[in-house]
Parts: sequence; C-alpha cells; structure tokens
Amino acid sequence: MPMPREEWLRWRSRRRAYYAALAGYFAAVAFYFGPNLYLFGKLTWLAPSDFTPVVRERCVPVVLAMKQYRRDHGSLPTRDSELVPEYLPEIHGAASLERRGGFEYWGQFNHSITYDFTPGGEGWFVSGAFVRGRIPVPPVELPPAPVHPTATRPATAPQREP
Amino acid sequence: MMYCRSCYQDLSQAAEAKCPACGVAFDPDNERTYLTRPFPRPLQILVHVIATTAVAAGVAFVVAFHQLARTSGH
Repeated sequence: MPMPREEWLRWRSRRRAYYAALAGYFAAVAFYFGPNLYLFGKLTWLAPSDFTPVVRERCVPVVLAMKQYRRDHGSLPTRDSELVPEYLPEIHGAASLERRGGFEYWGQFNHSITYDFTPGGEGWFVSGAFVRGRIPVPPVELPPAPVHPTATRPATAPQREP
Repeated sequence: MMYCRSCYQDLSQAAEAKCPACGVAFDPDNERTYLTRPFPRPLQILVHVIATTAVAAGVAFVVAFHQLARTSGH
C-alpha cells in the first residue's frame, strides 16, 4: 500500500531540508572555515586582535624605547643604532625605525604593524591584504621619570613676613 | 514499505525488481537493497557528511590558494 500523499510530502520536505543543510555545510567549509584554516590556522577571518600577541611581545618594547629616546633627545630615533644598546639590547629584524615619523613591524601574513605617535591619536594599526584596522592594544605610556629626592624640595626656605 | 535507495521512489507497486523511476535494482528479500523510509539511512548520512567534508576541504584549498595568489602582490 502506497504512503499517503501528506506523509510523502513530509518526507520530501525532510529530504530537502537535509540536502539544504548538507549544501550549507559544504559552502561554509569550502568558502569560509576551510580557507581560513589553511591561511590563518584558525576557523575565522583574520582580525586586528590577532596581532595583539606580536605587538605586546615584539613591538611595545621598541616603541617604549623610542619614547624614552624622545624624552631624552627631543626627537624620535630614525636608526636602530640610536636605541641599541643604550635603550634596548636588540631590535627584532622585522622592526623598522626608518619609516617616516614612526615605527613599523612586518608581522604575520605580510601585514604592516605601525604605531602612530600623534598626540591624541596614538595607537597601534595593522594594514595588509587581509585585514586593516586598529589593534586593540593600549598606547604605550612612558613610566614616570625617576624624580630626584631633592628636586621636589623648594630651593630656598619660604620668606617670613617681617 | 520499500523505497528506492537512490531516488526514494515508492517500490510497493513496482512490477519488477527495478525502480520504475531510476531503474536501480532491488531485492525484496534483502533489506540492504532498498529503504524502509524515504530518507537516507544513518550510515548514508555519515558517508554524505564525510564525502562533503572531503570535497569541501579540497575546494577550500583552491579558494585559499586563490586568495593568497590574489593578495601576494599587496
């Protein structure tokens, strides 16, 4: 005895939903998750936050040294030799101080990580083929300069009113 | 109830041991040659998922290579 038409239609709907789910799964793996896994080693697209570890580990010390140099000399360094070895033991080969007005680091996937020293707009930026934007790492702050104990005292005792 | 394992056609009215729609042979005495409901078996679903993943992985490789080639000149 053949299946009633309503039930047959129900099964047909289930089959269509099943094949649609299979097609969706294929599209997601083939065009999004798979390429991301091959290219970036993770399932999602590259984001500026993916550069946070390399910024914290390799870039922040250099920019901190650059700021210390600027505090001492009045301008940013333009050559590695101006920082090494006085401010830093070494500078990673991917970092460059020769970029006009700042710092540049060639990070993963041939992306350029830069630091903007402009007051009020300071921060980390990444630019490249896959991602472009602000890296969520706070601007580098110089630690307060060591203050000599005598520097805070007044040079002379306050004069008393006669 | 018997359904074609290839096109899910109802085989209860089939005059011979062949699907009237797609021609796939079946044996009424062998359950492995037909479906008892018009939907893939669990093992078929597993095979579908594995095959889909494998093909998608191959396509993903090509897509990734294409993206890399497109952006290498950046």
